[in-house]
Amino acid sequence: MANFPSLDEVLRVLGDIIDRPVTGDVALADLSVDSLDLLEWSFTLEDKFKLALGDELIAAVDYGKPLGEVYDAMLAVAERAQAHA
Amino acid sequence: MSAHPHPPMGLLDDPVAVTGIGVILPGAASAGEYWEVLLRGESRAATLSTVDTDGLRVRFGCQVHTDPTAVLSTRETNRMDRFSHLAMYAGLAAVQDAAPPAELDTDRCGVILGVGLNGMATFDREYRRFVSGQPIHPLFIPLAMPNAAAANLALRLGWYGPTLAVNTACSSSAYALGDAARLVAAGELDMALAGGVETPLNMLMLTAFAGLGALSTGNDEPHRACRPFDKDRDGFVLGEGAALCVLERLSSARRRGARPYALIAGYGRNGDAHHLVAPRADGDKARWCIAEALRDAGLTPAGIGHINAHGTATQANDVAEARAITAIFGESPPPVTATKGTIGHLIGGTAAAEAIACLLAIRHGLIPPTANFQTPDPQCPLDVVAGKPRELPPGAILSNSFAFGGHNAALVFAPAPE
Repeated sequence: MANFPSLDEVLRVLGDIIDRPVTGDVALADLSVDSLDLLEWSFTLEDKFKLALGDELIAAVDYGKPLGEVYDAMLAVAERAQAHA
Repeated sequence: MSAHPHPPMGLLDDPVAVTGIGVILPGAASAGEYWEVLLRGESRAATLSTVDTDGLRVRFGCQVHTDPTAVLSTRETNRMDRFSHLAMYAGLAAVQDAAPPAELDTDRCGVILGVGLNGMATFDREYRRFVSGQPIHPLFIPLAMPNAAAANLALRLGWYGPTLAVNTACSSSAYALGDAARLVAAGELDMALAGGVETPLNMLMLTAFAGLGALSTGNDEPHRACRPFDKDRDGFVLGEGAALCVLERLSSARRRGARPYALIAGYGRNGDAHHLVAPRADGDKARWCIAEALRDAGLTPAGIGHINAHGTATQANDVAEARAITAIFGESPPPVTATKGTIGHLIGGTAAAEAIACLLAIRHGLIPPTANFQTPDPQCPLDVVAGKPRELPPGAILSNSFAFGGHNAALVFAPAPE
């Protein structure tokens, strides 16, 4: 998928924002990420990778899923967006 | 004008003392460096290196070259505009200088910050994105709102008292300092962090202030451009920076062994109600403002040993200010200096930078010279300190601020009793 970031790249963007390393095993809730971090994270991903995040991502974040699963939700959103393009 | 409801600050049994100062200013990353810059009396103005000035009528200013984010985490840096970065740097330095006690009641500590504009770097960047069809940053509002710098300081310090952003244009930080002193004097706050900040050096603001005819156009020799009270002056030079002070009652400072820089002994304020961007030519309301500050300090004009003038170097302002000063002090007013000749005009931050110049003058017993003052103007019959520092005469120091909008303020700083 053109321009779609790898999990490592997504986690690096978040890590830069919250100023600490992030792995795919950790849930956002465990990182003390707040609403402004999430806004900045989703904006940066959209700006950098042209990736608009959808409800699946928000739901995955709300339910405290590990970031690897959040990434899978992002991938699913991106795939559907590409299919509809 | 009716009698003031506040008891005179200069006559309080327990006056308000300044126990900490912090700055980040053109050429100065600390209060010590600022004092050295002031004593040299050389303008810090230069062609701007971080702004695309192609085609602009004014292409220079007084920039801060120190990285203010050194005291911030990456998360804080990303969540703040440059004006918050500068305010955080200077504010945290002021608190560190004051070294407040661990048992501080943080419900009774507040931040009062003068800001004339807002997060201009964010406005500039995000508006360009917006008009080019790109999404704007979701944190645009918390980055750019004019109260962000005060809020960020309160957030970092964990201070729960009033957190205010004061906007009276070029006198914003004089109002911030004066109102903070009143809150401390009235017992509403035990400690206040007060001062001002501004970051106006971008294409839009350079163009806008130049459009008003307020800026010097001395692009060929920026370091000679700002000439307060000089006959050949042609306007001010924009500058950026932050300057903040920690205020507390003198008894509190003494209890914990802190050495005050000085007392905030008097505060006057009023409005010209005359014009949005021009002073009253006769300086009469500015005169009243100075008189009110002296009354608040419990002083006669003879009690003032030195004046730190607003001294913007515009034709109209310097003449009006000189008229106000001579109306109060007669034909032999105390020696005058104008800090803007050295560090430029910081708009909302300028009065606080000048207040700290007064505090350092009291501490060191010297008056810094006014940069670029060479040819006296018969319309400004003042004793302008120029060329080299001069010994500070006995007495208090008056600091004037007269802003666009007619927002006048005057502060009196007096040596703290031993």
